[in-house]
Amino acid sequence: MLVVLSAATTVLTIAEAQGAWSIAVAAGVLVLAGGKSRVILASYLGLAGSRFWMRAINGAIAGFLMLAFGIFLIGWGG
Amino acid sequence: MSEPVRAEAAAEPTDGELDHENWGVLGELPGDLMMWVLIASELLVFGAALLAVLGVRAMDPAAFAADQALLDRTAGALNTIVLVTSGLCAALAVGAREAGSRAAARGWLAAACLLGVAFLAVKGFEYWDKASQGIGLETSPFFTFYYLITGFHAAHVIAGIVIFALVSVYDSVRNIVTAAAFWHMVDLVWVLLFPIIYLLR
Repeated sequence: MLVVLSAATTVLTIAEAQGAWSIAVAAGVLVLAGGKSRVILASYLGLAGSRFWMRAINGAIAGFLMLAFGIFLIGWGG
Repeated sequence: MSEPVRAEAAAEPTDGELDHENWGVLGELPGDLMMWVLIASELLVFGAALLAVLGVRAMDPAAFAADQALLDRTAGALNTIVLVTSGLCAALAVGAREAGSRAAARGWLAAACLLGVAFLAVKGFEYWDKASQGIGLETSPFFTFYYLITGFHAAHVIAGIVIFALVSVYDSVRNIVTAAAFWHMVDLVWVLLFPIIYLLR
């Protein structure tokens, strides 16, 4: 699954995106990073067994990625 | 008054293991609690550094993009594959050890170590390539962050390899589970670091 998500990231970034499309690519790259981190947390770190911690840490990472995307947009607009 | 205290004391774990049953949600965390403290700390440190990168980028996106274009994205993508594969090897080592197969566990740990070395080799090649172009720590704010963050991450990979070597010798289930958790944390940091440093343009 991680390799599939990594390959999807590669496909997404292989073309040099321009304009608004680059924003979509950035969002896609961060969503895929969130997907990969979810797989690592659930399957490898064993959090799949705890709904509380899975939600908490996934929420924290999703918040981090959204914040990263927000700051990216500030830079993109500037 | 002394009876409940004695009963409580009797319930205390005596073999050095943490008593997860009375820890509420903390008891739901798999493995060693201190490893989770370390994982949370590391994620906060790397997370803050990556947000700082984006903050600096926001001040001068054109210069940042020009520097970022000098990075070898293929090497970064290759290292992603190498690291997630090594994470799989670490998970298989845990599974093998839990199933009682010490030799198989050591084999998977060795495979994870070798892939860790391969990751460092690719990273070393990237650093050498940048150095040969005259790009160093003080070339630009982007490269200062690039070297510091990826260098700090590489130091964790080295630490993971050393830990795997140690738990190959002292191969209790608990040691291998804890070492694998450290490795997965290094893996997790990379899957967040790679898109922000290499890909976001």
